[in-house]
Amino acid sequence: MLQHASSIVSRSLLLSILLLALPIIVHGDGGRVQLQQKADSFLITVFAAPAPLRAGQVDISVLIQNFENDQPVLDAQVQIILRGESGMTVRAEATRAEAKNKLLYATMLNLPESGQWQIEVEVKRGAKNSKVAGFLVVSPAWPLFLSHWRLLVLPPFAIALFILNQRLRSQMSARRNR
Amino acid sequence: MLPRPVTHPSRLGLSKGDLVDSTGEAIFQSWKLDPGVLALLLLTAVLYLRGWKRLHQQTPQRFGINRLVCFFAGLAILFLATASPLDVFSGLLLTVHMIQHFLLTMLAAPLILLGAPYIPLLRGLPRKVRERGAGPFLASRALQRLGRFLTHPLTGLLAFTLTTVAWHLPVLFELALGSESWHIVEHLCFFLTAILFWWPVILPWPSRPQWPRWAIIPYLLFADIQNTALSAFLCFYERVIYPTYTTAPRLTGMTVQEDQAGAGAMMWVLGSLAYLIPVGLVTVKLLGSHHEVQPSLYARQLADASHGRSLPVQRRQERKAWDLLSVPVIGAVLRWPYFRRVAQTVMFFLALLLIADGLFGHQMGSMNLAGILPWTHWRGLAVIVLLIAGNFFCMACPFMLTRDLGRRILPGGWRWPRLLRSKWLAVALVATYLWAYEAFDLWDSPWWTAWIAIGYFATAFLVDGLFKGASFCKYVCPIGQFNFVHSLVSPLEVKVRDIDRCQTCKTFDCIRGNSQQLGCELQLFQPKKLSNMDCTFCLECVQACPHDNVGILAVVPGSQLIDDRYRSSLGKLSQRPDVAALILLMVFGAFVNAAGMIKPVSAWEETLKSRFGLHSQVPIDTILFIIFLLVVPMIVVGLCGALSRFMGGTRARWRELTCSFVAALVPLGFSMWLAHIVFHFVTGWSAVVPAVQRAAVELGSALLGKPDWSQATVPSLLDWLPSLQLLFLDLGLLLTLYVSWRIALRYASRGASALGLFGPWAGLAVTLYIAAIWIVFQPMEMRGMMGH
Repeated sequence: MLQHASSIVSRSLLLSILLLALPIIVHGDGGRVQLQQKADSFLITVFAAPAPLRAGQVDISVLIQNFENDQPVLDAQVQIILRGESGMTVRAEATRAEAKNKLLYATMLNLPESGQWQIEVEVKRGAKNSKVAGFLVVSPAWPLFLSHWRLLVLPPFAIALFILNQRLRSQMSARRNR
Repeated sequence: MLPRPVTHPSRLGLSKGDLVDSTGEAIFQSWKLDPGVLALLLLTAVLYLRGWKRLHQQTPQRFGINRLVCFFAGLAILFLATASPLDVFSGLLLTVHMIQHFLLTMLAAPLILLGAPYIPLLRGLPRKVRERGAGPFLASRALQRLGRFLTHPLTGLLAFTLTTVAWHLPVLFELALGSESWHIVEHLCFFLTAILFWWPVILPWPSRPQWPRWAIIPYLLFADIQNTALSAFLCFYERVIYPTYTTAPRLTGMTVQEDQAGAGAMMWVLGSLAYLIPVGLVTVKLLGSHHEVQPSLYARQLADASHGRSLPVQRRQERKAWDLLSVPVIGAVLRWPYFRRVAQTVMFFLALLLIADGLFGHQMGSMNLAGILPWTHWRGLAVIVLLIAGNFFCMACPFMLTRDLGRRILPGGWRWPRLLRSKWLAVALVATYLWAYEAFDLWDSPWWTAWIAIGYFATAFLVDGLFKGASFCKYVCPIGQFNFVHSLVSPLEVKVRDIDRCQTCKTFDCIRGNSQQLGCELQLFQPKKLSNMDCTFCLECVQACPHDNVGILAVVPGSQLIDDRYRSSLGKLSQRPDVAALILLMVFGAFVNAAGMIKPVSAWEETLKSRFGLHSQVPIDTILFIIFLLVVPMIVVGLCGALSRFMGGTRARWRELTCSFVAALVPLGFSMWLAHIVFHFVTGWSAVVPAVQRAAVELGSALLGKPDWSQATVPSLLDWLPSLQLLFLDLGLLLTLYVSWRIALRYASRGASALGLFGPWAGLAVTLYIAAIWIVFQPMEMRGMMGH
């Protein structure tokens, strides 16, 4: 009985591993506080990751608190507008569904260029509209091969491990022959 | 300091209950499910469970259910610490961060060790991996010495204490707060040093104590003193130690200072308990026992087994390979005599739809079913199924219906010409197809795609209508050749379950057939069949075998490339230059096909076109294809074969050596096809929806609604896709190198130098891998998408 149960559990776990290997939707949020401003009755905090920010994919998340009691506001609509130095505008809606921390509104954006970006966060709750603005400094993107270094070092690492394994095996068989 | 007064929730238009509930719910929904961490935890759980199950059968007293519970509880706490809201909120509250560290170091690590994980994890590994992979490491004296050093109490105490103190220094703690990667490093340091720290305390079986047992009491007390000092500093220091928490929004009403003091108090109380409880337990045990329990003979033998020596337990019978046909539902469906016909009929009607839309529909590739279904979806699904299962696309081949029709209408019965009984015709057809695809932009021409499909149906009708057997599949079909070659690295194979049973068989129904069933039309005799080459997964042999001795069995991907035994209907791979040429074409075809879609190559082609004043791309593509698909591979492989023969000092013939080693390139070629085709599949899979809607509207049906062309545009945030592509390439390279090495060893057993034989082919594989990485990192045309 126990055997049967453990066999079912191990098969289910294996299946879960396979499912995990499938691509998942990217959820963002976290990083450093970039901006904290009061707007009407809200205290709006903007986080951004990675720290420091780099061109490419960035994760912007927003915490909206009621200024008077610090309670997070969870039923607002949040728009994020970013304007680059070249005049390029990136706009996205941040939602709680996109966030890992469900007190925040998050979105993943693609900032194609480095430099200073103006950020505007528009918060709409019922008839109330509030807005905060500030600046983000975005460094140039990492070269692509650097951002994937883990996968690029995998083959040399595996090869080194294999060479060591083969050496140890030959040593073992030499010992046995002696 | 008192928390800020909380405004009555009614001022927000919410009842108090709503507010508390929604905030609380939001907090409890804040999970961070990192697939990498989850996969690692699940894999560990599977390995432990497999090993524990076997050990539980042999020594139920030592490996009781309590060990399993402890180990799984440890993993669950590890998961809780790294994926639950604790991790999400650790950047906002120091108290939460400290709870997270406490779970990692004081609960997860000791619980995992209580599960005595060493032997169960080892026994959970597949036998070959345990014996050939881990065995030499475990038997290495240097590594055994390292193991003893790491599990020495002094090492554990110093490593854990220094790590704890170092990571609580503001400069390092801030580093971890600001970067997700450093946060992971911090947690890894805590968890791994905690394992080292708790090892001498718990002494997970079968480890032996390196200090007298009483010494564990001062050992734990010293750790408690360090914990007390650190906690007291956090509690009583009047300034904020970690500036990040000053800027973090306050959610609980606690000030930063209160949060810091709370974190210190929590660390103090819970930490001291975690050290002092084991002190009490060890003391009681020492006072209550007067003799050390010696490990039993069996325990020592089992411990020896972990060091690569054999286990004196009754050896279990060779485990039978996993069989897809024995899986409930799937097995029954696959065995159902009409399943194949149903699958073929579905594919046939899809092909008819494609032809109709290609001939009469909108002629923009990204809007037409003929521009999307075959080039994006069918190819994408085909390579994914080849990767995870086998050649199931030949099983559901739509051309089978016209083949069968041809057999009924046409006179048939001729034998396929002797001159063409090889893969050379297929080589020519595959090369032509690859060239035509690029030269005439077939992917962007629904009309041409439809005519190719019609041509395919007509050829299948004629060839199999006139000739015996499955000549079309075996000698003509380029799609079939693609599937045959790449199913050499698939994890499933149609194979005999028990070879001994075939020894007594007199009827050979698997190849001859019987009154009920056809035998193998591709002339593959199951007992002599090795690998998936030329197998269409028709399952006629499964149905025909009177002993129910043929299944779809799990095999180690790529293992059949190493083997050079005689293969039914193929002979030895080392004696088949036509098969080697086909493989070579597929491998270099993968690179040429992918390179043709990247911007630097397109720009270069444009430059060449304007330099030579040409109006058409076709001459340029033709010359480039002749160079890179025919001339370069022949020269490179010829040189590798000659160098390998020279450096290896073998007497084997150049042709034999080259044919053998070319087979090793299949995994790398397949990984390039995967990286390329999966890219188009992932970026373009949703484009089929508006294309179907458009086709329906053109047919006068508004049932599916108006086409939403936004679904045919490229999704912008697919940051995991390059990682997946690189992973494919990494695995392809590693498998190619491994297969090459094993082939080199095969020749080395005849007195040659394995390294000399292997070197040139390894160099070629690494060069191709670097080329593949370069291709993947280039901007790629979004074929099959709007605005490519």
